[in-house]
Parts: sequence; structure tokens; C-alpha cells
Amino acid sequence: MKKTLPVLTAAAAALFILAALVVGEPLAGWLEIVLNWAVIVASAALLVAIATLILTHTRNIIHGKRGFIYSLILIGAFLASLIGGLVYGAADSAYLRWVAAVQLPLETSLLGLAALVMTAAALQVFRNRGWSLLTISFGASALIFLVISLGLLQALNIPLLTAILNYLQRLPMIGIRGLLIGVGIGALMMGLRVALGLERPWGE
Amino acid sequence: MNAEMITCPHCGKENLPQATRCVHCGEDLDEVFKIEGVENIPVLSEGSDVSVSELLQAFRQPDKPTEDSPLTGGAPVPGSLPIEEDPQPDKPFKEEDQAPEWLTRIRKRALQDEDAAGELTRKMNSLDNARSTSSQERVDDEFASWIARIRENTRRESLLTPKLPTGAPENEDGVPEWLRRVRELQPDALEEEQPVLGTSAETSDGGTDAAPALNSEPESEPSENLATDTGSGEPTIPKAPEQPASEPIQSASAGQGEELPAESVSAVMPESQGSEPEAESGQISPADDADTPAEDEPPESGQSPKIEAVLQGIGLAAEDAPVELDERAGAGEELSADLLLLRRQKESAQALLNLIGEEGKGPPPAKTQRLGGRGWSRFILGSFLVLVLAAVLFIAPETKPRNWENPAPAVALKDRLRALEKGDLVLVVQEYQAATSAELEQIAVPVLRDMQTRGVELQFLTTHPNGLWLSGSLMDAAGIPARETMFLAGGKPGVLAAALNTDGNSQSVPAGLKSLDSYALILLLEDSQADIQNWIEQAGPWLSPTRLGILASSQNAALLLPYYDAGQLAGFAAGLTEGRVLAQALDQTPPAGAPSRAFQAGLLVMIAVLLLGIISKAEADSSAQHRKEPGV
Repeated sequence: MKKTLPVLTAAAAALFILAALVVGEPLAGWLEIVLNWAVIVASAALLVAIATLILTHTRNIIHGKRGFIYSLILIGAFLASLIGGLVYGAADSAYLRWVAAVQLPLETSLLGLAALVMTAAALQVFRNRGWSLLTISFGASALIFLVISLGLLQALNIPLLTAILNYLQRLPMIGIRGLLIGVGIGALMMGLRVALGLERPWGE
Repeated sequence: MNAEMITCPHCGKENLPQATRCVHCGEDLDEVFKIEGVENIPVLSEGSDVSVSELLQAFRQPDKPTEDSPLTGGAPVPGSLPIEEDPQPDKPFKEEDQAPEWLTRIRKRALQDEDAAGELTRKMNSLDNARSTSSQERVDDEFASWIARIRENTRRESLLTPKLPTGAPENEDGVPEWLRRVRELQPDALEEEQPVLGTSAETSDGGTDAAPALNSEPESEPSENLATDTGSGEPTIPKAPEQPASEPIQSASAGQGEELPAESVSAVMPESQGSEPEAESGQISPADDADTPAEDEPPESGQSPKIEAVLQGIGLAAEDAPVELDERAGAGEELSADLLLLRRQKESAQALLNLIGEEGKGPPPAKTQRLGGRGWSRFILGSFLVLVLAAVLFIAPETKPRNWENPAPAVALKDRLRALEKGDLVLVVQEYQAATSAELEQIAVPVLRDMQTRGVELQFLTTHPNGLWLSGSLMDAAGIPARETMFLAGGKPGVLAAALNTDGNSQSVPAGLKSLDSYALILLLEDSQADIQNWIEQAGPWLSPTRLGILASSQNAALLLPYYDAGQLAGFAAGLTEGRVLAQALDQTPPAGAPSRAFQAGLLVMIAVLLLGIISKAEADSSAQHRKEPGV
């Protein structure tokens, strides 16, 4: 029962959504109800996740685990945001500006760090993998599209060059189309497996 | 040193004593090592193999009957050591290709024993301790001091001697360095020409198996040889073509330079050497001591005149004195042969210890030679890159296309925006992170300003909490009066619910959010492919294709193109460049500032790093190829 009930629930929800999308108006009201349930459940799951996060870091602080200072920072930031939102309201411009002033440099730094990591990976890819068709094609394509993205060549306003660049810029469409087709087929198969109870993404 | 050099019989020039070929003319120096009367000794087969275990067995059971040898077929040859029949005549011998067996045994032993070398040493020490008589100890001490002196001299010589050219690159056949050195110390000529009483740990001179080379035929091991000799009561050392199985492996520290002249081996063994303990330990029995002239002399260091006298007495010259042992006869020669046997046994054991010690160790890592100036070149290259970046950021003018060919999606979006009239309702969906807010604000601000100017009514929606506090900045930049941003919860189900909210009464969508069909345009500000697909795939089927327009960061351009080509989008502008084109088309001033310059600088950094990776890899390959070249 413990295993059967989630499977049945998932399968029933999936089949109902499919049926409602196909049938349309007759099931539209029921579909809205089911979607409301889904949104509520998802929001509740988010609250549970937040509660678990806070409890875990509180435990780390209480037990003095290694790195508990980070837990302390997390709890402090969470409480400050929560109390600020409760006191001033989530729509208060001062409160929103304060949160944005904290989050903007943090996320920008994180993105810059990701760019550095990718740069380091690009530096190491030839050293670690040597010369191969993959690495050479990777290096060539990366260089070409980085140069194109600079916009310097387009600024030359040479008709032939512009035509070539336009052609090259449409090349990624080939890959992305294949990627989208693969993603679509994969999502379809995954949905069918979940609907049929063959896949249990919620765990055993 | 000069006194120890050997003269090449072909060119007359001096060579190192351990040289088997003349370094000047390249001829073999075999004649130097030839012994009178033993020229016809058959050559050792390179494929001969004696395992380590057999050598150790020889130490343990020196009285073991000698294995078959060419001499054992008939009656003992006069003047030679009679050798008994091999009790195991069918004992298979290892071929050259199967030689790694001994290596396998060494490995097994090294794995099984905590200290294989130490075990061997302990066994040898225990054998030494077994000798009880004082004369044995005295002779042993003399011998040890003599050996020590030889080794010390050889070590000095080896330090002063330049490395002989091998004529072939190292590890040409995958032979480890240590094995090659052992082979160098085991010249063929010595094996072929020099009659040796025999140790069993001789390695073959060639072949990759590097097996301890005895004759492939069953033959006597050194201690067995002695035992057989002594047991038979015929004390002569074979002059007949017995296999020179025991030319000792001379380790790097072994006394090559002090190699006894082969002539000294032609001495006759004393009759009294037949005792088993003597053969077992490889040492000289008290009876032998009684025959030696040096038996009454106390053990002294090798440098003392007494030991020199002892050596003189036993037929071994002092270090610098000419050796004329072949002219001597009698007990001294017998003892010298015995000592020679012992010395070779010990050297063989030492060689084995070295082999065991080197087992499992790879060749020493070659030091990479850094060519001078490369560090400076890299520094200059890095500095140049930094300067270029600084110039791009602060000095060089921003590149702007004069006649930019308008991208079709941006043109389509411009047309859709131009079609909006006063009072039309536009839903602006903010789904970007704070890190990309600068880029997206530069793209979105001209569009929002244009719509605001033309009286289009704007509503703001977000599905991320970030959008709540990022919308204020966007409104300020666009000059739009601040208004509330709606939050749509639920992710994909929320978007689907909003799309299906035809009557605007859904409880899962914000109260101010109307039916999506009621909006003239839904303008998505996106930096995430997942969010783009979420809206196109969840809400798109329920909307007219002309209602979805997207302003996205540049990395999403490739994802958006297929959707645009499929007619699922009204148009899009991805990236600062297309955003600038769109702004110009809308007669708005395109924003310029740090983000676009930083974007270009980041692209330049990426290009430089990619090139640097390619260059460094090519440099590494070149260095590796340079190291592989012989003579470099």
C-alpha cells in the first residue's frame, strides 16, 4: 500500500491532466481544481523544504559542527528577511531595495565565478584530453562563436563577411533543434513511465 | 686508476676495467679476460635461467647434488670438479621467453615477506653465524675486509667513471632502467670467457626477460659445485668446458674494477675442501685454513700490510700489485679459488638484493628541462592580454555596427510592438536573476519606455521571488511609475493554471492577473531556458502565437530560434546587440555602459584563455617530443 498509493495517485493525476487537455471544456473546471491542488502542494513542499533547511542548520549551530559559522549566517539572513518582510510588507520598496542590494552582488559574484570555472575548464580541456576530433572541434567552434559574439566583425560592414556570419550564427539552430527534439521525446517517455508506474521519481 | 685500466689489444688504448668493448675502436675486449686453457668453454646460453629460489636453495643446501652439466655425462674430467648426476634430470629449464618467472617469484617473495632483502640478509648472516671455528671467523673477517676494500675502490671508480654509452635509448624495449644497468654489469664476454666457480644468480645479458642466467641446461649451482667438488675429493677447479654459470652479477657497487684476474681461478682446489659445512656456507673450512699460509694472521683491515700478506699468500695480489696468481700453485691458490667462490656468491647475493630492492620501482623520473625564456614569454603574453583587456574596457571606443543587418526575430518583435495601441494591455513577466539584471534591463528599458510613451498599459508578473525586488529597479530605469508586481506561484502548474484561467477567477493565480488571452502581448524577460520552455510549452498552446514576445540574454538566442521558426513566438531579441537594434528600430536611445563593455571583455578573456590552452598543449607536446629524441 505504501508503494502502491503514490503510483496510483501519480498515474491518476497524469491521466486526468492529459484527458482534460484533450477533452477541453467539459473537464476545465476539474482541471482548475487539480491545478490548484498541485500549486498548494508545491507551496507546502517549499515550506517543508525551508523548515528542514532551517532545522538542519540550527542543529549544526547547536552541536557546534564544523562550519557552523555558515549556518549562523544563513539563519541570520533568513530571520532578517523574514522579519523585514513581516514588518514592512513584501511590497515595500525600501525592503525590496534592501534585499536586492544584498542579492545582486552575491549572484553576480557567483555568475562571475561560474565564468571563471568555465574559462579554467577551457584552458584544461586540451591538456587533459589531448588532440582529438572532439577537442579540436570544440576549440574551433568556441573560438568562432566567441569572436562572432564580440560584434567586431559585424562592425566592419563587409557584405560577404556579414553573410558568412549570419550563416554561421544559424548553425547552432541545428544542434538546438536536435536537443529540443531529444528533450521532448525524453519528457514524453518519462511522463509515460511515471503515469504507468514504471518510474517513481519520489523515491521508494 | 691508470694501473687498473686495461689495454685494448686492438688499438692499444686504455679502457676501464669493466669495459667489454673498447671505447676507442669498439672491438671486444674479450681477450683480456681469456684464461689459458679454457678458451673452449662453451658459451652460456642467453636463455639460461636460474630462478631466485634456486639460488636461495643453493645457499640453504649447498651440498645438494649438482645438476646436469656437460661434464656430468661421464667420468670426471681430470682437473675438474666432478659433478654428480642431477637427481632431477628432467627438471624443466626456462626458456628465454619464460624468464619472467624469476621476476614473478621475486615479486611474490617481496609481497610475502616484510622485507625480502632483509630476509635474505638474515639467512646469509645465519649461515655466517653457523661457522664456529675461529679460523673461519678470521678468514671471514679477512675476506670481508677485502671485499669491503674492493667495493670501496669500485665505488670511487664508479663515481669517477663517466657513463658508458649504451648505444641505444633508455627503455627502448620497455626494459626498466635498473634492469638495463644490471645487464650492463653482466657483459657477455665475461660470461663466455671467464671460468667461474659459480654462483647461481647470474643474469642473462640480453633479452627482456633478464632471467638469472645460467645455462639453459641443468647445471651446477655455485655452492653445489663446491660441494660436489669437495665431496668427491677431487679438488680441482674445472678447466674443462663447464658452464661459466656463476659470473656474478655485479651491482653498481660491486667491485668491477677489482675483478680478480681470471687466471687466478686456474688454481687447484685443496683436497680438504670436501666438508659439507664449508660448502654449505660457502666459506672455507678449518682444514682449508690449515692449508692457508695466512691462517695464523689476525684479521685486519684491507689496508693493513698483514692482509696484503694474506692475499699474497693465497694468491691474490694487493690492490696495486700485479696479480700473478696463475703462477702460484698449492694451498694459496686453492684458498684463493675458494675465496673467489665466496666472493662471487656474496656478490650474486648482493645483486639479488639490489634486484629485489629495485623491484617495483620505476625508473627515476626524468627531470623536465625548462628552457630558458619561456617564463618570460608567458609573462609577456599575459601582460599583453591584460593590457588589451584594459584598453577594451577603458580606452577603445565601443564597437557599434553602422549598418547592422537587423535580425529577423528582432524585426518581428519590433513590428509586434509597433502594432500595440494606446490602452492595450501588456503583461511583462520578469524571470531573471539578479546577476543578469544589468543585461536584461539594458534590453528591456527601451522597449518599456516606448510602450509607456505610447500609452500601453503594463502589468508586471514574476514567477521568481527575485522578480519582486528586481522589478523596482527596472521600473526606475524605464521611467515607469512604480506599481505592484504580481507573483505567480507553482512553477509549471502555476503557468498552466494561469493559461487555463480563462475567466480570471482561478484561486492559484494572483488576483490582478487576467486571462492571458486578454493581454495584447506577453513580454517575457528571461535568462533561463527552463523558464522560456515553461512558458512556450505550458502557456503557448493556449495562446495565439502572436502574443508571446521574448527579451532574453544572449545565450538563449540559439534556443529561441527554433521556436520562432516554428511560429510559436511573435519575435525575440536576445543579447545586448539585438537589444540595441530593437531600441534603434523603436526610435529609442539604446543604453550603453559597463555591461556591454564587460561582456566584450569577458569574451576576449575567454578567447585568450582558449588560445592559451591550445598553445600550452602544443608546447607540452613539443617538449615531450623533444625529450624523446635521443641524445637530448
